[in-house]
Amino acid sequence: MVNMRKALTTRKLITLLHASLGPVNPRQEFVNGLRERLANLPGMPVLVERPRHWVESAVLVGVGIIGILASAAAVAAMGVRFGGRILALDQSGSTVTSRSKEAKTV
Amino acid sequence: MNPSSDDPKLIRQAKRNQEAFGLLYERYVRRIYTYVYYRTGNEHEAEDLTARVFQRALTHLDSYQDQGLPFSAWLYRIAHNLVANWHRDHSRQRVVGLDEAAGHVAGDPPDHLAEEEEEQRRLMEAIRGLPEERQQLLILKYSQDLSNAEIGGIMGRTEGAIKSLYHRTLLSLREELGHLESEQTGAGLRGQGGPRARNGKRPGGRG
Repeated sequence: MVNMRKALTTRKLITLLHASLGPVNPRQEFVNGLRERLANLPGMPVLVERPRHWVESAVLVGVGIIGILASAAAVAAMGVRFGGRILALDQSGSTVTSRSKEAKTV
Repeated sequence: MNPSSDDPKLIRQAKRNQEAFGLLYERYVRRIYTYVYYRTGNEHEAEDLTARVFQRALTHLDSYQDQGLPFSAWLYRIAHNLVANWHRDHSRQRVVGLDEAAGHVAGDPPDHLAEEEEEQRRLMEAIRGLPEERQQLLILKYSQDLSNAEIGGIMGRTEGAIKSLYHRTLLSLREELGHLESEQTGAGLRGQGGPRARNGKRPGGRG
């Protein structure tokens, strides 16, 4: 009798567990919002693909070309200045050497 | 759990391709939410912790290695760790379950529904009074519909150990329910009425 009551209680408990622990649906706004948040995590892959507009691409290409030209011009200018300074040093160096030779002779 | 056969393929893609993680997210967000919801008993905390589970999964996806367990097992483990930390941080606060709170605003239901609600509320209270691993086992079994073998994979135990733990859990749950019922009956007889506030801890006999 006691065993039968126990078995029934266990069965009822299992039924109650099934009824009480059913799947829960999160709010749709939460699901969508989290998807967006994950997409915007820094350094993370983008979950929502956004096609780039052609104007945006053209501007980016233009900025890139201007950047390349500017850096080339800067390098050239630096090269000219550096080359000029070396030449000037070289000339002043040779003058000093000839003066010291004269002093030794005296 | 219905382990999706294309999960490994999606995971490989997700390490390089943005859309693949989105598919994994869509596939598992509801299950993880349900799991966290029952572990915390609170909708806001469930949302917050679910968000953290997927953020962590995304940041650690590169280090994920297929060890023969389904991808969901990895997610459940992340969720379990976060929930355990959450419980540690909130151990002194009593969490009012959403179902419990909803019961107060829903108005007066018919008698038979009120009785069912009361029974379910008592059951949830009894579940929250169980040790953590037993709560985890019941939630994985009933809300996620997982087999003992799958639960074993998530909890790092053998199928036999889970089966044994499950039987012990049912016994202690029944005992806990009996305690709650007698406490309430006693309270009712004393004319105090209403459920006694419990802190979810019962001395001794746990684990």
